[in-house]
Amino acid sequence: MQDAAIVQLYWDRDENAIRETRKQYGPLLSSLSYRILQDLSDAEEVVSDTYLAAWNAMPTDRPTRLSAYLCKICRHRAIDRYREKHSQKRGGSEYSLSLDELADVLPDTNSVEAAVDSRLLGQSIACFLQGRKETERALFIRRYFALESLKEAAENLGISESRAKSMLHRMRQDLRAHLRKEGF
Amino acid sequence: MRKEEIMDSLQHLPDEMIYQALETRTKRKKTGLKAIAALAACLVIALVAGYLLTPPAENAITNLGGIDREYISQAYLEESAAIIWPWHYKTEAEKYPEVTLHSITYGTRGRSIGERYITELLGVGQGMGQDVYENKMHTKDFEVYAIRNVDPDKIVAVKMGDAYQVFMDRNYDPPAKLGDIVDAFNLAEHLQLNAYYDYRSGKSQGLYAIGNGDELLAMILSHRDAAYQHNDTLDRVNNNYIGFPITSEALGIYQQALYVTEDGYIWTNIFDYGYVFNIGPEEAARIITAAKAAGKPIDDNTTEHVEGYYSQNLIGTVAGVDEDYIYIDDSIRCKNPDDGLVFKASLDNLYILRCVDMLRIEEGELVMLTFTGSIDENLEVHGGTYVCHCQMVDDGVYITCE
Repeated sequence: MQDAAIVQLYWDRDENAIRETRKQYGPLLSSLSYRILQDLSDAEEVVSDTYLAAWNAMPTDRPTRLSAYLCKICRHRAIDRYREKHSQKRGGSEYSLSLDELADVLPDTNSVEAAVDSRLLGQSIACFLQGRKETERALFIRRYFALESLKEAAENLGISESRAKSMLHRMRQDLRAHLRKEGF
Repeated sequence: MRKEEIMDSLQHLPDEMIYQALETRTKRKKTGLKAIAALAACLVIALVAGYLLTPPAENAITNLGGIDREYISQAYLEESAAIIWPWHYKTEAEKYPEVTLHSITYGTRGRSIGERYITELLGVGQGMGQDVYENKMHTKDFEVYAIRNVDPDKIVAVKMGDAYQVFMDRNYDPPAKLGDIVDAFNLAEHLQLNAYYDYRSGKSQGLYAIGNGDELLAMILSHRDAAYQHNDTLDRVNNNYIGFPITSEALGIYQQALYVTEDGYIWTNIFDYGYVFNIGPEEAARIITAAKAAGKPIDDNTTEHVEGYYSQNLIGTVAGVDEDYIYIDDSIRCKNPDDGLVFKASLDNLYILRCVDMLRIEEGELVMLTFTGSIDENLEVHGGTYVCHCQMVDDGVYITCE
């Protein structure tokens, strides 16, 4: 079923909306959630929460790219769940590994005022990504948004793991420079 | 906290951007012909594989297509992409991998053959090929020729454009005895033994030149009644053996091998499948002893270069790509970058053009150009067969120029 048809089911308050969503995007959401949480039952719970959140948000939302829309909800909830569970200690998941890789992208600061507006920061990163080659952009998003492992992202894009690693390294350096220039 | 901020901010990337990034994978996973046809011309079907190119000794002189180059010791990782080329990027031999003549279907050996091996015209065969992008079958007629002193029912030369290509009977059954392939392919004439590797428990102990290997070859081929063994595997780990590198232009054999094992077998993959013949430990020992008596240790890198058959690699940075040439600067490999030279390879060469186009090779990238010809006084590389991205390997860390 096409995205528009599934979204219409949500708008019609038709319970088939969730069944169709699960059929179409269940595996995508489960794997995203699991990569962050590294726990099957937690991951499935987050996916169920995602369906519920989508049900509550549509209407009024009418996403044109349902996969991206659902991934955002799922990722957000999985990260929240991860932070709750790992407030003392973290490690092992793709989320924590990705987090470590991003450690140097924003300059270190202890200033409360320096906390940035997440939306503006996201827009600035989007601008940065827009100027990169398609493969670089896809790699960055797969690694840091979809939290795919380096190996998985590289395989999906048909490049070697070492090349992916090197591309990401360079992109992080460039992103750091870009954000500095943008005043972040 | 700052890294969490970055991570959280990615929630605000545009849906379209995320969708496109995730969609890339969906496209690649489609395998139906229609799906393949729908993809852009730059479709890469298979994953990238890496091959490590061993570095030359520090400051060793490398003869590159006739030009001496002194390079620093450095290993490179080749990124070799397995691509199904679109029809218009294929050579005739690639378009038509099968040719049928007199009810025998021959399959390509993927190698060309010089005119000096060609004898009489056998007839006009029908070539058949498939354009997987368009899901269309194509046929074309080709002249089929006999190869000097080789059974034409087994192996032939097909004239495609200006060149001849080696084709072999696709349904060739494994030979019952060693003598069967000796006769059918005239191995006595078309194989040469020049060197061997000495293997102990599967590990090479070195390469040895054997000068004129005709006597040794005759010794091996004399076991005409040696029976074909249905188990075609070679136990490398628990075995000691000598291995002869085999290349034969006439038979379309390129860098294959023939082994004689101490436990009494001849094993070869010269016709792609593993063929094993039992000659017994005593005869094997006789051959191995004779080889070792003639063998003189040589450096792996000094194996004779035969222009037009063995390939060489030029590694460097793309200095530019224009309508006619790709330019490759090798200064990155020189101790003093000022010693670097800028080579060029013509884009009239389909093998090079399609790589540049489809692998999107661009200025500033580190690449490896494989060629079988020579380099002329204008630093133009002839006989290019492939160009791809590669990476410099530094203490186990890959530094890449993507």
